[in-house]
Amino acid sequence: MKKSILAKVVSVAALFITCGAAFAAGKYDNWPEKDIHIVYYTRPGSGGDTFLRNMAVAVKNKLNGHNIVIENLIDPSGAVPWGRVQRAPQDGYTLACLSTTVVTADLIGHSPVKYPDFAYVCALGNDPQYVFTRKDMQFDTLPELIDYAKKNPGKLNWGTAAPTSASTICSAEIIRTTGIDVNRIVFDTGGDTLVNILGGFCDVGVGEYVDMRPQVEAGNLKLIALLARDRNSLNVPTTTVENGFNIVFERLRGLAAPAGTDPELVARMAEVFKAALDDEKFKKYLADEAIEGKFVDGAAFLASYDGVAATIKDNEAALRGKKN
Amino acid sequence: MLALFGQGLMQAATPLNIMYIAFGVIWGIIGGAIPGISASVAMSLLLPLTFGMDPAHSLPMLAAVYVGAEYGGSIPAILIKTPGTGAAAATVLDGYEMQRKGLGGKALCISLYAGVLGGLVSVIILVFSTLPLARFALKFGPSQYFWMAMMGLSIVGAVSGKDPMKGIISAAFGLFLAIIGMDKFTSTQRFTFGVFRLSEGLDLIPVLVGLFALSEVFRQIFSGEIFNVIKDRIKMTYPSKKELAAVTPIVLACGAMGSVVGALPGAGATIASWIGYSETKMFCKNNETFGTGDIRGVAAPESANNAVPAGGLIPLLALGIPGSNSTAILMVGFSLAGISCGPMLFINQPQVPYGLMASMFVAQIVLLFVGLMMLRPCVYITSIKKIYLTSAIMLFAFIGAFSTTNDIYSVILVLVFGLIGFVMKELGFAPAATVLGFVLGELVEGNLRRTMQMSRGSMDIFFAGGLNKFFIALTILGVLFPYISKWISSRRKAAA
Repeated sequence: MKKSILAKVVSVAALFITCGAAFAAGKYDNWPEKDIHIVYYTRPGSGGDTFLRNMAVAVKNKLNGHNIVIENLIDPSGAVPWGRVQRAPQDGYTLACLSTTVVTADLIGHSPVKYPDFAYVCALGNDPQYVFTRKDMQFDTLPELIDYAKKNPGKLNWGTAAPTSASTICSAEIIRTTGIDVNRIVFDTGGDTLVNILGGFCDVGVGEYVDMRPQVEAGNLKLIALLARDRNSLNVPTTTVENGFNIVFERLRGLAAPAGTDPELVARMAEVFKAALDDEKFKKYLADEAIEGKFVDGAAFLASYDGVAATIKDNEAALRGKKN
Repeated sequence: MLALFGQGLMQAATPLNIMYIAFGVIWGIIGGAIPGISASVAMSLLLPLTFGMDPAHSLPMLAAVYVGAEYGGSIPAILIKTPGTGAAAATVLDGYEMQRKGLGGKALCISLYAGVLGGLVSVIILVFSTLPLARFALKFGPSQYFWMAMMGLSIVGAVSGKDPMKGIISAAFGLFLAIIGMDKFTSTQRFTFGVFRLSEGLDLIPVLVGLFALSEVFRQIFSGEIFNVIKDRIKMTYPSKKELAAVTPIVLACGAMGSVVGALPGAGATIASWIGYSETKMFCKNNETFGTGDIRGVAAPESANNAVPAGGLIPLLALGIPGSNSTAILMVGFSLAGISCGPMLFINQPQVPYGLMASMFVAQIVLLFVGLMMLRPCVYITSIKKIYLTSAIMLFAFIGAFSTTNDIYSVILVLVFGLIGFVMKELGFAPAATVLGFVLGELVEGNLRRTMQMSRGSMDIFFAGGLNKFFIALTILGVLFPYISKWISSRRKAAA
């Protein structure tokens, strides 16, 4: 009899423990249970927006029949869209797609949105920056470009995008560390820089491959350096020891939730979005645009942006237009 | 080239494709007619629908939205003085005056005729000269853009009413409004007075809606016109054959000009329509009727801005560079379909660009039919009791403004600019000149500074090259135009 009662008590306790554990482990297993809104700060069609839209298609099967709704709240400072995400409920249904602009907007653009004030979910790709020039320019490598600039001070027109862009930070870093004297021309977008280089009004630019790919494939532009540690599929020389430089710039694209979101929910979101990297169509898109597809967890994602912040601080004077 | 275009036409004219194009055109007209829902927003709202669609259907549908939206913006501009898009702002000047005279239907007809014909001209130009025009667009650097914007500004006299000095002050106010916000060159705040939202700069739609629509509402309220009773229902009036023939050369010329401006990355439909309006006024005889309800003042900007969508395809297709928000969305459509735009597209998949051009041609024809069907219901709006109509305009203006930022900030901006516009008109200033200054301000300032960065302060660069000289000549002509015009009319009077 006693044995039987003990067995019952143990069974009931075991049942409770199992249910409790299952409940705890699977608290967010059913996420998402409605559409997810991802807020982005640029117009549809920009490099980041295209990345996001391709990613949204790639994870469609993991969303329990729900959708990702992309909201383009266009604001170069990012304050409106990111501020909205920071104030949103911490339920996993309002997320921000981030790029390094969230760091520059905070440090250079005086945005009230502080870049660490998010729950970083994960990054899915590194969209690197390239130094590029017109096909008829007399330099093919970064050392040749630097050498040319040193022999012709004030002659080279170096185009960059808006002050808060990765293009501007990378340009400032190269110009500062090599000590060259060039005319830094500020355009609104990477596309504007590209047009001016093709038209002969500018000589050099720094930008992302997605913008210049058609012209590179047509042979009108040449890529002369990749701001990364290792060469990628395009086999462009890097701005590290192989070229005598020590410039590395990681430009992660990923997702963030409002600060204070339950870490378990963040982990569940990361698990869902990670699946994009297994999608063949998304892999092809990343390969075509020479974006390095890789999963970076939330902590490492934030740490990478801390590195960008350090680079910005090193180049603050140039980014504020106080010198070339 | 023609064979590929013909093939594209055959494909675009299938019933299924026409259905997609018609849907795109109607969606575009609705989007264009609502302030705040521009062509690009209307296109981006449709983008998720295109996931998984055959690109042979999705791309023509997106292009059709672009075509529809450029026309749609003119409907509220003419009927209720509320331009649905920035590009329709110039249409307000004569379109709304026609409506006030009971000729709203005729103005809408002229707008439709000019839009469709201008659009067809631009598609033909696109088919025959995409690659040469793309190469021409690359000849525009910062100094050329600066002078083009100056040429636009030089016509301030054409939109400033009786007092040119008040027009210049109004335009200068517009230029000032354009510099509010974060300086794109140095990341410093300008005239934001600690208000962070101002660091984004002022959005065009709240400024337009406030200066044009809401100021008109205030005028009607303060003048008591709002309580006037409409005795007769406004009748639908159509333009005569003679009138259509008179505007046709203007439409053709502005269509060609709009195609070229559309091909210039960063210029766009708003600039095209102002240039179309001002150059037409400058080169037409008997131009003193502009601004008082002249059909040529509706035809010119509408032809120019409807030619921009096809022109905008030139840098996208030939260079792989989207020159506007709308073409950037088309580029997303291409990307999702796995197609890369740019020079190699014409070599590897020539059927794609020519297919899209054919779809735009069909979209113009569809626009004609859809537009004709919408004429009567649109004109009926103006027969509504004034007090109801005015209330609806206010609601429409606030909803449109709200949709640009999804918060109350833009609504406050509309109210502020409504009051500013009202006071300006009462004091004899010209809100249209303020809009002109605001639209062109960024182009003028940004390109002035870029040019100076390139030349390290030397001014010679501004006078180098044929294009700069051409624009300088037109700028001087624009500045002198009011005086030449006055001199000619005084000579005519003396002769009579």
